[in-house]
Amino acid sequence: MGQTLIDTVYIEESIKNHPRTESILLRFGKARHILIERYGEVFNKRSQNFRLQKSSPALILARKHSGHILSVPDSFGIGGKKNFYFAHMSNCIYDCRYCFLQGMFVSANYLLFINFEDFDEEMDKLIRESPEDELTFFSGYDCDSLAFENITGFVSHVLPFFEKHKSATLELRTKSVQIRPLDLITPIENCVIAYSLMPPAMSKALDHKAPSIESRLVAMEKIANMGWKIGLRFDPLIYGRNWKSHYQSLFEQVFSTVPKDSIHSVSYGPLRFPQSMFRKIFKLYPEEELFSGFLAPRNSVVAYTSEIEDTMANFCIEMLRNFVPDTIIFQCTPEVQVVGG
Amino acid sequence: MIDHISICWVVAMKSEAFAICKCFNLKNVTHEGPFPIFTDLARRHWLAISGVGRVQAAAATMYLHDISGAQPWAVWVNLGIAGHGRADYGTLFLVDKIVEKSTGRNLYPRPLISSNVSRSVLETVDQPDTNYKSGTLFDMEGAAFFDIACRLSCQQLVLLLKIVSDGPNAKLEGLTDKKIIQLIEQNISSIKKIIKEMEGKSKIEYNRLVEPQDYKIIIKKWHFSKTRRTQLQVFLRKWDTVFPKKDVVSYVEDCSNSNMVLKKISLKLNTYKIEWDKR
Repeated sequence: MGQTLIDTVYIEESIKNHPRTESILLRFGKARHILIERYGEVFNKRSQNFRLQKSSPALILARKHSGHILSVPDSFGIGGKKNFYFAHMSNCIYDCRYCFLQGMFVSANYLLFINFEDFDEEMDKLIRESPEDELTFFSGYDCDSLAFENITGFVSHVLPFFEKHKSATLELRTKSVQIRPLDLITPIENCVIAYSLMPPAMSKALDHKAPSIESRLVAMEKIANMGWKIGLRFDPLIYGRNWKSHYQSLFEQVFSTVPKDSIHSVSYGPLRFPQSMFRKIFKLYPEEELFSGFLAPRNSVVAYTSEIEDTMANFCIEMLRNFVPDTIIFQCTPEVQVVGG
Repeated sequence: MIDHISICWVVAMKSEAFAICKCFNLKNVTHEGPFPIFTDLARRHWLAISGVGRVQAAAATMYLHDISGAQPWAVWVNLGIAGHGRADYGTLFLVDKIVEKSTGRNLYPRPLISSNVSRSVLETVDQPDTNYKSGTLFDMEGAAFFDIACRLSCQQLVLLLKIVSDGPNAKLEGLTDKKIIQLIEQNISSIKKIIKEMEGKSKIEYNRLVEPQDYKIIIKKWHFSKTRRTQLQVFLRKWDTVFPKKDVVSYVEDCSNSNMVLKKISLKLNTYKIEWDKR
């Protein structure tokens, strides 16, 4: 991540002297530093233009006061009994056109909460409250888990926590080929590095600013060979002409590159947006071809038809069964979860 | 309705307007309204002289919006002189934080300019203030202008440019119209560069927001309710994306009502499969 790309850093007054703040600001010595009272003053202002801002986001350093850890629907899990997610950072350096962040936030600025320890405390509380249950904590839904690591140091911070709490699993969702600190830390069993993947032709068209699928595969192989567990996340599933052959090639490429015994889980899921979110995203990118084809309102979402969704899901499961057992395949939708077992 | 890029300037004083009018060939618009208005032959640049103070700036901004027919992709610029506690006389600043002294409110302009023009905090006051603070500009209009302009265009198309005219080493009392004109003229090439960049951003917004080209023809031919008009706009945008060479007006000409028009377009759109290899 090029540090010169950020020209403005907003800092909440209350955390300006926090060691983490000071350390981050050193990396942006040439940027403009502006003190603010609360991050909402900048991040939540309605008149912002997400699309224009995406060309040059600022960085906001803040403290998160509540809602550090949130529950996720059961059907989005990867085997854990209870599933949670957290967002130490909001907004991503990549600009994937199907990303829900475009419709969720008014601002494209990066919002980083520097009070990592408060996230630890909440996770610790949840783990102690459910000593018999397998808990999974997902990172990387409001940002990429690894891409900003050189700035945030979040992964370096949180891995020792999970080393200590072996009953809980951490998923780091990413598209990044930036593999620090994974190459410096001894791998832990309960951490899954989960890569988002789609056929290269689709990724080239939609995953703006993100590393190519080919380079992600190189990174995944490296990480797997270090001893880390790998998650394969084929979502969202994207429709189009010859989609089957695109996905078939992708699966063959992935499973011939990633060592089988390193694969923790495989999941796939449909492309869906809540209707109001889709309206916002479409308004931002009305010229986007992805939004102009088969996506249509269906109940409370905008999605492909249920026939297309079912066909794609059935194809995926049939293909994936050739490579991995059912017990580690998960379909992420509100209705269905584990494919096997 | 203006269907091209427009730059809307709001300045407090005639002397501030002079250099901009000269640079962009703006002429007085004859009208009955409360503020002097200027525009160029192409009606691309518009300028209002508001007078000094927040209320005037807010009112002039709204008035300029009305009289120019500015669209949501217009660039809004507040250009003016300002005091500064430390900077050199004549320095041009881009404002990135506004403190409204009367309310304590903070506002955060952030136009996306790659130019290396200096940035500064601006304090908008209600009375001229020579109690200069180091690192802060002082004016009497900025906060109000920004507040209103952000309701007319997105925040990224609103900018405040201030030129240091007074400070601890340059008294306010010595400031003449001639000096103000000179201050702006000596920064005009930087200002022009910034405006050029803003025009690029405005173009992105224009392309995003402008009505699809066949929309007017279709709504003239068939009656569409408000909801259906919105739906039509969405469908026409999608049509322009996936069937750019296919004339939608002739495609729907045999439809007897708006419902049929929408259905026919929608059905055709649903046949489109993206060829990912060709993207």
